[in-house]
Parts: sequence; C-alpha cells; structure tokens
Amino acid sequence: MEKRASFGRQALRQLILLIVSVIVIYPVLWVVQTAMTPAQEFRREIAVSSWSFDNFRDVVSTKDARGRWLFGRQLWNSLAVAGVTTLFGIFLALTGAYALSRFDFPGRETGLATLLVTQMFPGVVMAIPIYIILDKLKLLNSMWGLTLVYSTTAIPFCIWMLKGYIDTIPKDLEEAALLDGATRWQIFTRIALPLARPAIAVTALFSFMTAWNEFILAATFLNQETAYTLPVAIQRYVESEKTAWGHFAAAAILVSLPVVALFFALQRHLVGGLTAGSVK
Amino acid sequence: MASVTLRGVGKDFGATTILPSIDLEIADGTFLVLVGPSGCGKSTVLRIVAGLEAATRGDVAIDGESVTDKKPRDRDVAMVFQSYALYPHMTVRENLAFALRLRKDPQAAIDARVAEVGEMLGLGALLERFPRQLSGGQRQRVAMGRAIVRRPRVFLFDEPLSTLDAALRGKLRVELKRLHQQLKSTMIYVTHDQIEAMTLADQIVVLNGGVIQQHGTPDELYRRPANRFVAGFIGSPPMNFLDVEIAKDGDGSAMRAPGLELRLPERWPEGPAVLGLRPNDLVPSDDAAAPLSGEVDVVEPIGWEAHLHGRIGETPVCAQLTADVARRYEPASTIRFDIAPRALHLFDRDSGARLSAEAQDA
Ligand SMILES: Nc1ncnc2c1ncn2[C@@H]1O[C@H](COP(=O)(O)OP(=O)(O)O)[C@@H](O)[C@H]1O
Ligand SMILES: [Mg+2]
Repeated sequence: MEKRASFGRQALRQLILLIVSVIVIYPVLWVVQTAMTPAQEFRREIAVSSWSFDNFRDVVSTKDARGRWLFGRQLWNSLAVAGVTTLFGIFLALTGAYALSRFDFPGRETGLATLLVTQMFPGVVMAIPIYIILDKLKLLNSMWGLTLVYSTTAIPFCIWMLKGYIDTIPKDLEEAALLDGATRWQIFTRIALPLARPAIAVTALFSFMTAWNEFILAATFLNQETAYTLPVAIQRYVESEKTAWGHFAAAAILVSLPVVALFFALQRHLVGGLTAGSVK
Repeated sequence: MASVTLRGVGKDFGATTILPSIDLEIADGTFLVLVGPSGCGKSTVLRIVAGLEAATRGDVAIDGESVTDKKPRDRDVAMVFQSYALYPHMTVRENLAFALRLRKDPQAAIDARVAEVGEMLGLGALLERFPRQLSGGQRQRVAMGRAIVRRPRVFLFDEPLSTLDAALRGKLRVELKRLHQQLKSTMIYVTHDQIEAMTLADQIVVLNGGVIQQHGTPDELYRRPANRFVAGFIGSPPMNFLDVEIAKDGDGSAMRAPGLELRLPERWPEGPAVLGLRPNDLVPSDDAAAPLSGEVDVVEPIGWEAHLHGRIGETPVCAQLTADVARRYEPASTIRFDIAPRALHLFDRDSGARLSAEAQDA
C-alpha cells in the first residue's frame, strides 16, 4: 500500500486541480452566461444577473427574408451533411481499411502512404482548387458538394484508424471462419465488423464532428443563407460593426448539443477487450 | 473420412524455400502426427492442406481428388488452431453452430448436433457462455467441438495443447485419443512435443528444416531412427551420442572411444561414426570388463526412477536407472555399463544417416 500523502502535499494537489478546473471551465461558463444574458454585450466577469432563455428563442426562430424558418433549414443542412458524410465515410473507410489490413495487392503500401500525405495539408490550402472543382460540377451551394468535400477529408483518417484497429483482430479468427465455410463477405460482416465496433464508433464520431463543426470550407462554398450549415450561420452573429454576443453564445450551445448527444449514444460501444477469450 | 496425399508439395516465401518438397500418403482414419522443432515448417504443411496457404508447387489430394485449387471451404476439412481462434462475440453455442448455420442446416438439426457435441466434450453447461468466461481447457474443448460438429473429412490440429499447463495437457491428450477412437476420422496433428507425438500417433512424420526425416509408427521411430536427428528428437530423456572409431577386428569390428571398448561380431563400415545409446539402455554393471566406463556427476531421483548424469570420456551422458540402483553411485565415483547389441544405434559422422552392419557373408 502506498503511504498516505502528507496534508501539505494533499492540499497542494487539490489546489492545482482546482486551478486547472477553473481554467477549463471558465470558457464554458462564460458562454453559458453570455447566452443566458438578454443584453448582446461582451462581459469579462462571470456574475449572476437576470437570466433568461430569450437568446435561444431568438436564434431558433430565425426567419429568412421571405419569412421561412431559416434555423430549421440550416439545422437540416448541417444534419444532412454530417449524417451523410458519416454513413458514406464509414462504409468506404471500413471496406477500404479491411482490404488494406487483410489483402496484399499492388499499390497497397503506396496507397496507405498517399492517404497519410493528404492529411498533411490543412483544409484551407485546398479551398481554392476544391472551389474550382465544385464550380465545374455545379455543386456549389449544395449539400452534396459539401458532403463530398467532407468525406474526402474524413475518409483517409478513418481508414488509418480503422486499419489500425482491424490489424489487431487476430487473423486466426478469420481463417477459422474461412474453414467453417464463410465467404470473404460473411467474414467481413460477421467477424470483422462486430469486433471493430469500438473503432467504428470512434470513427463515426470523428466523421460527424469533422462535418458538423467545419466552418472555413463551408463558408467558402456556400453563399446562400438557405444553404448555410450552422457554423456558417453562427458566424452571422459576429459582424464587424456590432456583435450579438448573446445570440452567438446561444447558437454555439445549441450547435454543440447534437455532438454531445451522439457521443452519449455511441459511448456504450467504446469498450475494450472485445477479442478477449478468442485467442490465448 | 478420407485419405490425404501430398505429392511434391513445396512452399517458398519470397526467395526463401521453407518446404523443398513433401511427399506424404495418409491412409483413411489415420492419426498422423507431424512433429519437429519450432520453425521447421509444420504449420505451413498443415495450412497448405487446409487451403489457407497456397503451395508453391506440388499437389494435395483428399480421397484421391486434387484440392490444390479449391478454397478452404470447399475442402471439407476442419482445423483447430493453436490460439483456439474462438469467435469472441459469440457464445459457445453460436461458436459451435456457426459452420452449420453458414451451410444452412435446418435449425432443429443444428440444435441437436450442437447438443450432441456439447455433451461429448462436456460443454453442456457452458453453451450460453462467451469465450472470455471460459478457462483455457474449456476454450480448447470448444475449439475442438467447433471442428467436430461439422463432421469434416479431415481434422487438422496445430499444436492445440501447447498453451495449456502440463496437467491439463496430459488430460486433453487422453481425451483427444479417445475422440479419435470414437470418430475414426483422418487426423493430422502438428506438435513440437515428441511425447505428444509418441502417445497420440498411429503414424509419425518427423520434419526438420522442411524435409521429412522419417515416417513410421512411433515404435519404428523409437527402435530404428533413420538418422541422428530423429534419434535425438524422439525419446526422453534424449539419446546419448558418443563419437567413436570403428576398426576391423577379425571377422567383425571393434568400436573405440575414450571410456569405450566394444567388440561387434558383425562387420561395420570402418572409420569415424557416432554411437547412439538411449538412457534406459545403459545397464550398470560390476563387471570390470563391461564395455563402457565413466564418471558419475549428478544423480537426479524422480520417484521410482533416477537420471544419472555422468561423463564417458569427455562426453556428457545420461542413464535412466531405477532409484534403488542409482542410489549405489556416489558423485565422482566410476560407473560401468553393459549394453545389449540391439541397443546400439550407429550413425554416419557427417551425414547423420543410420549405418547398418554389412550383411554376413552369404
Ligand atoms: N507468411 C510467412 N512469410 C514468411 N515466412 C514465413 C511465413 N509463414 C511462415 N514463415 C516461415 O516459415 C518457417 C516455417 O514456419 P512454420 O510452418 O510456422 O513452422 P512451425 O509450425 O514448424 O513452427 C519459419 O521459418 C517461418 O518464419
Ligand atoms: Mg507452428
């Protein structure tokens, strides 16, 4: 047994933890307070004053020039883009990662390296060329265009993640299944997929967040209010002459809720030791 | 049930030849053990038979029909892996039923078969458990059960007991033997453990460096090892080897080495040779004319028997004696041994091949 730390050490430890906690929590508290304060001003200190949900109501009920529900439209844009990016990305990344992990084919090594290289360029660098491509394909201001762009950004990373995980699933299991009469596809769906669940959950979360939070590319490719995703919409509240801090903060909180929800939904899949007991 | 034939089967990994060329004929219902040191290519042979590895050359036939170009699932063979390879996300029942469900057997037939095999292997109470909730021995039984349910033509085992502790290994060895007597199927069993090979096999194939050293019954391999490698590999404690010189001696030969002087009535090839003596063939003798004399080093009592370690000339040797006899010898004392003529194994010093006495003049 470890000896109990002396009181002085304990106190120091607690103090450090307290300071770090405050630093971590302060921005969150600030955003919450700003969102709950009806006045659209910028305040440094956190103080309890008259709190209300007005800002949230304002943000949610935003209408466009013709009186249609803009926030709903933009929420749908975000959900659709992030959702399709996730589904599309997971499907391609899983099949790709499985092939890269299990099969030996010409170009395998080069392919893996290339995927890694694409991750080295910040998205912004590619904004202009991608803009030109989307323009030619008539996919500007389109959900499909954005989905395509996000998928190409997310998939390489997802492939690497999933491949790393699939590599750890013992090959013996698949060989046993092969002898048991399974086809390659059956092995993929009945052995590899169930065992790769934690990695699939992480990858799904990553893809969703990549698409959901992305701002710069969306702002570049979308110039119609009705095509905006939420991050672009939020930016509207931060204008150079006057910033609606209250609305901005409320919108920020609203936008983060689905990600939190998704995280909790996927959490039960984030377990280790799925292959325990299979091989000695 | 089926016979298995390998004709000129070879395997290269890149530029490295692992198996030059294997020829093997396994009769229907045989329990064949492929034994050899680690890395000699045993698993590779097994995987080629299973279809998990493609042979670089040669042909594999099951029941006389070539399966070289067939997929594993079309060969109707089952394999028990060293690692068990149980499906971790399936219960024992689902593990056992997996192959049957894939081939779309009726549910009732699957249930009956799983229950039957579960009973046979004493897994009845464990059917709803997951592999992680089982002990090593139970996992190994499930792995065997998964092979048995399918009634395959050939069973392949790749060191299935090597991860278990000694006591459990002994127990499962007996179960495996019983299983073979019950199923009467063709089984190919790979191990690096010669005791496992001797106890289980109808036929043993000793493999070294990808080359078959000898193929025969356990008894044949023990009594007449074809070369020095097999002689040293089969038998425990291992055979003693002494470098000797053989010279002409009247009608017969004389064998000499430091601590050894032995006349042989037959004529053996003259020159340097290696004499092999099993530890249990060394019989202590009080006769001053006994052919072997050495010095006692350490006596290791093991219950009713004892291993006496000593030196003949400069060569360390081990003699397997009963504990009573061994007790008479003090460390550093001199010990003499008699050897029966039929206990002698002579090998060529260079090639290691077994030497035979020249035929008596006809
Ligand atoms: N996929 C592979 N690629 C390259 N070398 C291999 C491969 N599989 C096995 N080997 C080599 O082949 C030799 C025989 O392997 P194996 O059949 O597993 O031996 P054993 O089962 O007798 O221990 C070993 O030297 C091993 O390193
Ligand atoms: Mg092996």
